[in-house]
Amino acid sequence: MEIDVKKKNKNEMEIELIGEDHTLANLLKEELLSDSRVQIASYNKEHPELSNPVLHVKTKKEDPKEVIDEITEDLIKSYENLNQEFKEINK
Amino acid sequence: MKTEIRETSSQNTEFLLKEANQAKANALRRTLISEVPSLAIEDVKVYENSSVLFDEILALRLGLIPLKTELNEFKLPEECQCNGEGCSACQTTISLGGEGENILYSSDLQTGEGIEVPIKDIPIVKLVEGQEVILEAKAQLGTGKKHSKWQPVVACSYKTYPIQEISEQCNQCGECVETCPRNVYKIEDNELKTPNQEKCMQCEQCVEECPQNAITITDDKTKYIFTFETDQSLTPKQILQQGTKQIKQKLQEFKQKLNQQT
Repeated sequence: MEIDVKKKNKNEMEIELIGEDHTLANLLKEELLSDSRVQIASYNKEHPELSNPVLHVKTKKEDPKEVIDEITEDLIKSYENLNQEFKEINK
Repeated sequence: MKTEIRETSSQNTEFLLKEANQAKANALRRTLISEVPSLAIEDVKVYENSSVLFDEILALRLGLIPLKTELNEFKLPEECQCNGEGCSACQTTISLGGEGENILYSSDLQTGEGIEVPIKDIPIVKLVEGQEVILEAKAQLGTGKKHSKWQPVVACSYKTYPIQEISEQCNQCGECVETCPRNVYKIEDNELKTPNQEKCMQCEQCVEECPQNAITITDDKTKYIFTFETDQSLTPKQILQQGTKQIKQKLQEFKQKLNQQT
């Protein structure tokens, strides 16, 4: 996976997720929205087949990169937990 | 996130996803459907086909036959060192031959060592006397994103955890017991109980029928009842482990690239 940072300033960021679809974009968007530091979080996929999703994040005053980084780390941990739990299935 | 496994068999898997939200559950569902790789026939070389089916139709039918996959033994063609040209690390050869009068079944496929056809009774083509089929096929890993023949799950879905709230106005008239298509309600010791709470499909027929307006249907948005079936190419455990591993890897890669570029 490649990413392209299209815009970055003090409290706003736009990231294109190259080769990805709604799976990752929607997950990140929803998790960002549930964070109190985030003012706007959304993503846009201009064409369903031809274009990549672009994630847009605007925070109240924090560095957006830090917020995204933290949220991603939390998500990694929760899917790691889930992976461990599925080890107990016997079939 | 936590889980509670309800049922696992090659046919049905049901588990409860707890401490989750809709986005997390949906990411898992989408990954199971379109990102977990499995083995399927991709290229077919037809040497002889005098059956009533065209070569293309035959190839399509072969592609849709599930093959038991050992994920460690194969690589995705695009990740293979041969750059997708086809080598023993990303491909396996399967052959099929037969003449009439006969029906060719999936069990007639001659597979290499370690490759198994889990469902033996899929008819491929019916041959009458004088007709013959000889072909050689290459099977490789792929994902459901490209073609549904590589999709290891079928009917993969989740629903939110239903809750039936019964207020004090309930007079145990039994209208809801009668009307509920999923038999959620039961009157026991002069009290309305919900022994089949999870079976509820939130049709709200009970809400409409209740003369006292005592029932409200809501849902717990942190709990999801997840169900799927497999096509027997992978076991439910392999599918779930691979799926969660893949989301995790994708997020890790995203995080790493984000740190590199900013």
